[in-house]
This record gives sequence, structure tokens and C-alpha cells, in this order.
Amino acid sequence: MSSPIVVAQRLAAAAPSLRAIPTERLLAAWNDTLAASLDPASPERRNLDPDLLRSTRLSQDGLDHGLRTIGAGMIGEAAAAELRRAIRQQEDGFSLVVLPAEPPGLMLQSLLPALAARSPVLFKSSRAEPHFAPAFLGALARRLPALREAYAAAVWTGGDETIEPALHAVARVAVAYGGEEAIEALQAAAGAEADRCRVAFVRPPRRAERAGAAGPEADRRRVAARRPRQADRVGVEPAAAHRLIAFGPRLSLGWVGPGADLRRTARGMALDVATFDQRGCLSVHAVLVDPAVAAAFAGALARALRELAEELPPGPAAAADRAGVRLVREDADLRGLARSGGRLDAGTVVVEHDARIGPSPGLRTVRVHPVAGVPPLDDWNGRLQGIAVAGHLPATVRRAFERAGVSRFAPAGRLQATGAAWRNGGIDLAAEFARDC
Amino acid sequence: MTALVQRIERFIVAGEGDFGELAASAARFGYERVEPYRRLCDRRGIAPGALDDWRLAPAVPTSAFKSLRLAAGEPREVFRSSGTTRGAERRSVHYHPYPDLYRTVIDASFAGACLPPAAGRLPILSLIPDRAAAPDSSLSFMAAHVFERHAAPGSAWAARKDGIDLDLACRWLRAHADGEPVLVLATALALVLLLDRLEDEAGGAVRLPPGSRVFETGGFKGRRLETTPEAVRRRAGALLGLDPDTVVREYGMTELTSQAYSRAGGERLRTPPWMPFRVLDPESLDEVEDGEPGLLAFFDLANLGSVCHVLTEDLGVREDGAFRLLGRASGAELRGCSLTAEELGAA
Repeated sequence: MSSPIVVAQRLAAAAPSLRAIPTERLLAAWNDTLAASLDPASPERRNLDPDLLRSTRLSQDGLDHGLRTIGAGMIGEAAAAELRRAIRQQEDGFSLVVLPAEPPGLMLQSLLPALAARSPVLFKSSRAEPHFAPAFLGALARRLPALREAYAAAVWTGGDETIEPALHAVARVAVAYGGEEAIEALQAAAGAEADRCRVAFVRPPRRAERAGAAGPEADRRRVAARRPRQADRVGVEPAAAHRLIAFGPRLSLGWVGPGADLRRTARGMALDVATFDQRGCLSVHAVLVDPAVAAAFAGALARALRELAEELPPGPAAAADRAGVRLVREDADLRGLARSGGRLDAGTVVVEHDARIGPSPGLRTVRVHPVAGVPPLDDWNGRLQGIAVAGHLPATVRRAFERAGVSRFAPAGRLQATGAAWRNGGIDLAAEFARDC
Repeated sequence: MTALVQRIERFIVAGEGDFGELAASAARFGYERVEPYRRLCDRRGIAPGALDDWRLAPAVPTSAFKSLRLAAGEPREVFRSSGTTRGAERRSVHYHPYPDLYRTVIDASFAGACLPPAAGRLPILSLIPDRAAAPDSSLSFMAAHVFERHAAPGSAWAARKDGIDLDLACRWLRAHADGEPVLVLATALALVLLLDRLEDEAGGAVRLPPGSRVFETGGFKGRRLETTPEAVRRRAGALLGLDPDTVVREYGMTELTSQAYSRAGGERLRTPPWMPFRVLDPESLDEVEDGEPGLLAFFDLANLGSVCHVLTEDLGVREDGAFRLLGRASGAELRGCSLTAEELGAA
């Protein structure tokens, strides 16, 4: 297997041939590949699923549902609209995308924009889930062999001094999904010597920054780095300026306002919780509910989660997750909070008295917060991703969510079903891939 | 001071009395005096009479110390956890109506675990802040008491509110390289910083006098350091000229009054007789077999002033009458669409 640096040399030279591929051929290859990837009976999925089930710890039904949720909105007309955009990378060079371990299929959200921009990309897969990206790229290249020279996936240990500084020196753009510290480390690897371009952070602000306003715009930092000496080791021209677009860890919430149909809302919210076993940044961790219906909604949500545990069985639970849920339940009991019971991995609903939100330990554990007006979100500035909405959402509350960094509002049950047009954190990745520095 | 406190002190100091009987009394004491605990027992249909077996007394999760006032009396000391550097996290608060019990625990367990045999007073270097710098830290309380009991002239505090004075610490170590055995008190993070500095300094490693000890506690909460307790112990041995077995690891937390200590040559931690531990299945809260992982719970008689039975966020396994830590329960960390811990640690 070639080293990532050798692969990067190949990718860097592929931009002209990529630009020459007719959009309709690209679209056909994308649609066909994605359709196969969403079909558990396809040869691609039959080959991939044993590995993917092990690495993702999802059940087969959970994996099927999760991939459909993330991919169904990126096929057909939605994909065509993206691929037909008149944006193209005009320079030679490649970009780097550092993928998270979960959820599987997240690479589609950066691959489609890269294809739209005709921008070659090296994907760094996580060691914990190294299967989806190379499988998808392989399937795509079988349908359109010219793409083999422009897209690749590799695995290496994050922070490898023999690989990353050199790659960052020549990558035009680096897109990274990671924890706060991992992103700060990537920033350091990308270089601190700022000049012209920018690093866009869609990540939690540091403590010192939290005192002020936050949100996608406020989070942005415009710096860049030049690392020409590192570039020598790769043997390609250094990028004129390196850009890092970093997506930090986030969670999502539900909002149940006046007028919501509780049974239907509970079913939808349960889907937003259970998809990917609550391990994505669009997974709902807590639901803010009209106090008049909070108890009734909590009951309906607990029932919906129990039903979903049959339809979308949870995957094997890690000991740490089971322990975390047990502690949440014990804490609720001690504080006299109403909660649902049953198997630890089948879902837990706790009706909180405290309006302050907190992350779930996982395994479909949700806190329901009775909230009448604007919820206290100060601690979560820059850490909120999406809101699953049912009933009336007052404009003041919506603005508070937006100030906290929310970039997606969707009806309950559709939060994780992002389409090709979704701009995570308000960032148009295709435009970023295409942008000259 | 209540008669029960005195009986517990006698058990801690001299082993007088029966643990089961004292534990039952302590559980009933909590039921009578700690309102949230009584409500929990009542909701679960556990009458005071059922607390005769301490194992049946509900264990209180450590998170409850963040949201509830768990105090059996008017507190004379209040300890707060340090929290992590990230997240919208609240801090644990441990109200101590009986801080002398804490002193008794330290006197009964620290010397045996951490000092050379038959040691009198000895020079101590503390990388743990003193009480003036951290008045609400239970660890600083402990370090201060250790100083009071065991420190010889020339002992030094090298931790400040704003960090560790590594220059002072290195000078102190080099000045004490010849002579009588010394004791270094450190958090794991402070010890790593000290070892890094020693490695970087021109003089490099020091060779502390034979019989010297290092006391190390805590993990790397909220800090990005890629290391393990075993690796720290090996490095400390090499850079301080000590047998790695003389680096004693302490397991303690704000929510507990007593501590567990490592014994020579391993990661296993042993609790004192007044704080037995159990490893519980998260699903059922039943005790698991030896060798099976689960949540660690402790019944700490010295926690009489709050709640004795504590369910921690730590995962562990029982081995040979001791426990080995395996990790933490999920909960406080925000992980959505993040790199894995493996990636994060190395990134």
C-alpha cells in the first residue's frame, strides 16, 4: 500500500483530468454508487457490511437505516443540483479530509462537494472505522475509473510527524472533524504562521472566547499557514496558503412547542435520537418541551423509543456507555426525577427540573427539559448543531439557537436526514474546495 | 461529635468493632440525617431496618454531589472538585461535618502506603497546592495534613495558584539528591510536567536517596497527554533514580474521604478495611464475578458526614482482593462526529 505522501503526489496532479470529466458522467457514477451503498442487498454492501458492523457497533437494521438517512437526500436531483454548480478548482493540488470514526457515511458530505468542485481529496479514515471511505471510493472508481487518480482514502495515526506536517504543507484545504483538542492539534500541525487565507472553525470556542458572542460567523478565524520546507518532502509545490476547516464536537436538541402532535412528534424525535445509536452530531440529546405537555411528551417518547428498539435494535453497547446510562438513572432516582426504565440500551427518558442541558451518555438516553421561553444556552455557544422542531418555535428562541451555532432546523424525525444542499456550520464546502488562495 | 463517629474512628485506628454493624449504623445515620438519601430509600421501599446489610443501602452516584446537598450535619469543611478544562460541567461539593475523620483516615493509611518503613519526619516536596492556594481542595487538605504530621525542615510547596514552580521543584530535588530519603507529593499531571522538565534540563535525571517515595494521584482529566500510569511510574523511576515500585499511586476523589493505594509492582489498588469496594453490573447493579468489569462502588465509613455508599463513574475489575481501573463511564464528554479517543489522543 502506498504511503499517504505518495498518494498525495498522485492526487495533486489529477485536477486537470478531473475537470475534464463531463458532469453527467460524474452524476451517473455518483448516483449508481450511492444507490448501491444504500442497498444492503447490493454486492458492495454485502462485502462491506461485516467489517462495517464490527467497526460501527450498529445493528444491521441500525446501519441500514443510518446510511439511508444520511445518503438518501444526496442522490438524484439533489446530487445533480450540486454537481451542476459552476464552481471548479482551477489550480492543481489536492485537499485533505480528516474523517471521524462515526457516524459511518459522513464522508459523503465532503465527497459530493469535492466532486462538484472537481477537487481531488485524500480522506484520512479513522482507525476505528477504516472501511466505508475506501469501499465507497473503490466502488465509485469502478464506475468511473478516472476518479481513481483523484480520490483516495488512507489510515494513519493522527499526529504522525512523518506524515501530517508534510501533507498539511501541500494540501490546499484541510477539512477535519474532531474533538476540541484534536482540532487545536491539527491547527498547530497546519502551522501558526498566518498570512492571507483562513482557518474556519466550526468548533466550540475556547473558554476565553465563550464570554462573547458565538456562532458560525463569530467562530471563524482567518489565518493561514505556509510550510514550504515540509512541502519539499512531498515533492509537489506547496499550496499558496493552507486552509483548515474544522468541525468540532457538537450535539443536537429537540424543541416541542405549542401545537405539536405529541404522538407523532415523539415518534419523530425518537428516530432523531436512535439513528446511529445517538452517536452523531445531529443526534438529539435533550428535548426542550412546552411545560404544559412535558410529562405527557416524556411518556410518549419513552414508548416510541421502546418501539424503535424493536424496529431499529441497538448495536452492542460498550461497557462505558451502559455504565453512563446507569449513572444517569441512579442520579435521576436520587433527585426524584421521573424517568423511564427497561433495558439500558433500549432508551431512557428523564424529565429534568434543571433547564440547563447536558450531553447524553448515549444508548438513546434523552433528557426532557420543560422550558417556556429562551433556554439557557450560554454553556453551549458553538456546540449546538441542529434542532428537531415540532410545534411553534418562537423567533426569539430560534435566534438564540442560531447564536449558539445551530446550522440546521428540521421537523422532528428528519433532523439527521441531511440533503446535498445542507451547509454544515454555514460553510459551503464545494466553494471552499474550489477557492483559489 | 456523635458516638458513631467515635466508634468509626476506633475501627479505623485500631480495628475495634465489626464493620458490618458499623456500616449498618452508618447507613441508618445517613437515612435519618441526609434528606435526599432518605427520600431515595423511601421511594425504593427500603426501610431503615433493611439497611442492616450495607450492601442493600442504595449507592449514591458521584454526580449527585454536583446537584444535591448531601450533608448529615453543619459542615466544618467544604471540598469542591476541580472539574475539567472543557464542557459545561458542574463541580462536586462534599460537605464535611466531621473533618477529623478525614485526618484520622490520613493518619491511619498514608504512612503505611507511602512512607518508608519506620520513617520519622522527612523532607517533602509538594507539587500539590497548599491550602492557601486551594482552600476547597480535599487533596490540598490531605497534603497539608501530611506536611503537619511528617514534614521535616526544608520541605517545600512548589505548586501555586497559577501552576507548578518547576524551577523550584528541580532545584529542590537536586539539593536533596544526597542525604535522607524524601517524599514527593504530586498529581499525575504535575509529575509528568516535572519529569518533562528534568528531561529537558542540562543536569537531566537526579538520583534521589534510597528509600525515597513518590505519591501520585489523579489522572489527566481534560488534558491531552498520551501516557499511562505505568509509563509515568517507569519514567519517574528512571528520572528520579527510584525503584518504580516506590512510586505509589493513590485513588481518591472529592466525593470519598478515604483512599485506595497501589501496592508494589502493579496497577492494582487496595482499599482500607473501612472502605470495601464492589464491582457492579451496570444493568442490574448486582455484584459481578471476580475478573468481570463493572462500575466501582465504595462503602466508606469515613463518609459518615455525607453518604457512605458511593457509586463512582469509574469502571474497574476485582483482582486478588484489589481493583484495577479500566476507564470511565460515558457522560460528560461531548462526542458527536468526533474523532475517537485513539485519534484524539494522538492527533
